[in-house]
Amino acid sequence: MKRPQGLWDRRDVMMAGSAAVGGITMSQDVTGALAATSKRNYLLVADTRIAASRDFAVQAMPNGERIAWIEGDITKLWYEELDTRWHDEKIAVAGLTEYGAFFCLERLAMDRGLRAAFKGSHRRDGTQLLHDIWAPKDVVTEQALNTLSEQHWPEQVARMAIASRIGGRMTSQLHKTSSVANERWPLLVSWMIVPKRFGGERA
Amino acid sequence: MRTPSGISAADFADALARFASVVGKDWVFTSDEDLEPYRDAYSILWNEPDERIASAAVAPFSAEEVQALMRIANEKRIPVYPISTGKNLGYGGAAPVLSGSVVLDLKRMNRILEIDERNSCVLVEPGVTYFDLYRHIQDKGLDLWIDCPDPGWGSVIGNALDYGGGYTHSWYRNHFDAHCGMEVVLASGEVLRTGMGAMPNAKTWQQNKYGYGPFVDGLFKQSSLGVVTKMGFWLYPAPEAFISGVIGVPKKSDINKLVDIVNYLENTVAMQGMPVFASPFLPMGLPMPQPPGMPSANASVADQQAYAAAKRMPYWTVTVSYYGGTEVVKAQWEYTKRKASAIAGVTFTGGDVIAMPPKPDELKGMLSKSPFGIPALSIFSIGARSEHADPTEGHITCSPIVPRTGEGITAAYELIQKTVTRLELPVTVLTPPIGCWARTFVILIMMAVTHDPERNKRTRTAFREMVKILADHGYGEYRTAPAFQDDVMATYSFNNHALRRFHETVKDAIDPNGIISAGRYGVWPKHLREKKL
Repeated sequence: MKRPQGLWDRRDVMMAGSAAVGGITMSQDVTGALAATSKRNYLLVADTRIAASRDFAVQAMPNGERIAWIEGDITKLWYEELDTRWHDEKIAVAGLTEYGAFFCLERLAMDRGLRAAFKGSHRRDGTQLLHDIWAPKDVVTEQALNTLSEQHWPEQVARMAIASRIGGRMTSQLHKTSSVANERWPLLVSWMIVPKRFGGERA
Repeated sequence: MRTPSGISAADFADALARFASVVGKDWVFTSDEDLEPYRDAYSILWNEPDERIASAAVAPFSAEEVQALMRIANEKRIPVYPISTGKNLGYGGAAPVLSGSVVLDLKRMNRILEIDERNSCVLVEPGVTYFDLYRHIQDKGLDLWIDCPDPGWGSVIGNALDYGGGYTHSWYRNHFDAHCGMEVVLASGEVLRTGMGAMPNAKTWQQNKYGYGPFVDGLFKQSSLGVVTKMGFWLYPAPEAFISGVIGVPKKSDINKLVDIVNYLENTVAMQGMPVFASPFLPMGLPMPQPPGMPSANASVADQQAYAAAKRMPYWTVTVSYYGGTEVVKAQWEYTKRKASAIAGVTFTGGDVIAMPPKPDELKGMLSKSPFGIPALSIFSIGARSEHADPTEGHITCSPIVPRTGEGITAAYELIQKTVTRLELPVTVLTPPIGCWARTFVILIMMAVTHDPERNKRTRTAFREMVKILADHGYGEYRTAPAFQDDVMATYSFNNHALRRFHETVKDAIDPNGIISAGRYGVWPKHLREKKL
């Protein structure tokens, strides 16, 4: 059953808490807002083939509605769910996927009055994994990025993405190089797509 | 806030306020965030001073609102750039050709107004996507198919007006040819209907294309003369069965006869599906993994043919397909085999009958469902952005129209390969000859777009050179990105650019203030044309 608007439950508090213990430093304002806001749930998109994608989704699951599984292609997700759902309810969507899935969803989302609130690019370069993060400046800090671990970065990035859901516009770009790239995927993107605050939606 | 060139900030603010009074303030966009969707994601001018950027966008809900907006724009001389959904990535997307234009975003006009199963036709508004139309047909359980491009996320009207193509029966693959009747709002705000639609209460607007008098619909293809607010299309009555088969031939020169046979089959409607020609020895753009020892595209024909013979693989293949009744498609495949048996060493594979609509397990594993009129986004899962050499940000496409002959293919690829090498063009994909439209092929030469201005500049220079070289050899582009639309129009230069001058004469008469889609496809309104000269 959908949670009535205006209520918040302990999952919200836990998420805010886990963001802090997970090494993400957020401003006091944002932490407060995260706890106080009447957040709507979000849908998670995960690619069954990509370990980092699964890890991201599982980490984000406690506050997410459910996971829509894909294998690269988002046609089914679009046709059977989002195309109709975004007419009635601008549900936020988050995931860690290949670039193509995100690119396509972001373009479609913009037509319906949603926008990316968080984007992370995770690119393999030889043995290194390069992280570039675009996020609201109050939400994700340089310090948070420096805590990204080689093993648990997808979970950590998931917490950043979730925290960005209530932030402002993406303004800051942060960069981090980790020493070992375990992923065989040349480029992955973590993202959170949220409703815009006004206008722009399709009738 | 940006303003259109030559318009004062006060006048522009006044125009926007009046636009808002027509559509409501929520549907006038001016902030950077709101205008982000109107940037061309694949722009070869990304973040450069010449990138085509809108000053604002406005999204009407009805043709009446479009009329009201055009009257205001015409009075205030505000340049507007209509888009349906702006999804033609690689050819400009939602961005205007003239920076500072106000994008007239028709996405809210997304109604399917009439659909006639018995006459297999539909009347739609510009915001109707292929997914919308497909869903409507499925929900109503109609025995109709659509013909969609790949990806199928765009507008049915927008794709047709941009001369897009699809993948099913040859009568429906040319999306502009498959239209029947239009409603157009002119710069003055006046609305006209073409074909039978010019008659009030017409009963056959979507059944008869031509009506009475000169046929004007073509003036609105790739055009800057009006805002198309409704358009009819002929749909494909759902066929009962489908067959796909592959014809293989052993020698490079066999392509001449093979193309002639396929043309004959297609032009007599004995074969209706899109013929897909291929050869492992065609140049492909980026290097693809090849079996060890396989001769490259540059190897001698003798070596290539010897390799093909040793591996028992054809030099050329063409995948042919048939739609219709079970008995009919079986007979057509048999007929095809008889005709193609004139080529020594020909082989045939496939030919199984699939009952339509295809079952889910038959569709499983197919990357594209477009041959069955099912829209998809799967193409993005194989590369919205190339991951080969280094990440890029989309592509632009040089797309010459090539004769439908084997000799035509051979000559075109020789020229393309030589030119790509000489100009060091960053080609990521060079397609086999595509037969989506009858009587000609189109070859797509896709080049990487990056966010590196210097690299993009080199690509632009090389692209322009390629367009000129192709034109010098008689190969014309069928559409192109805004950055090159003047270059391509310049190649259609017969009799001192008589065609462009004709377009300009019509433009000046129909849109004397030059407010609609200035510069689109190389046709500029008088005041900007004179500045350019």
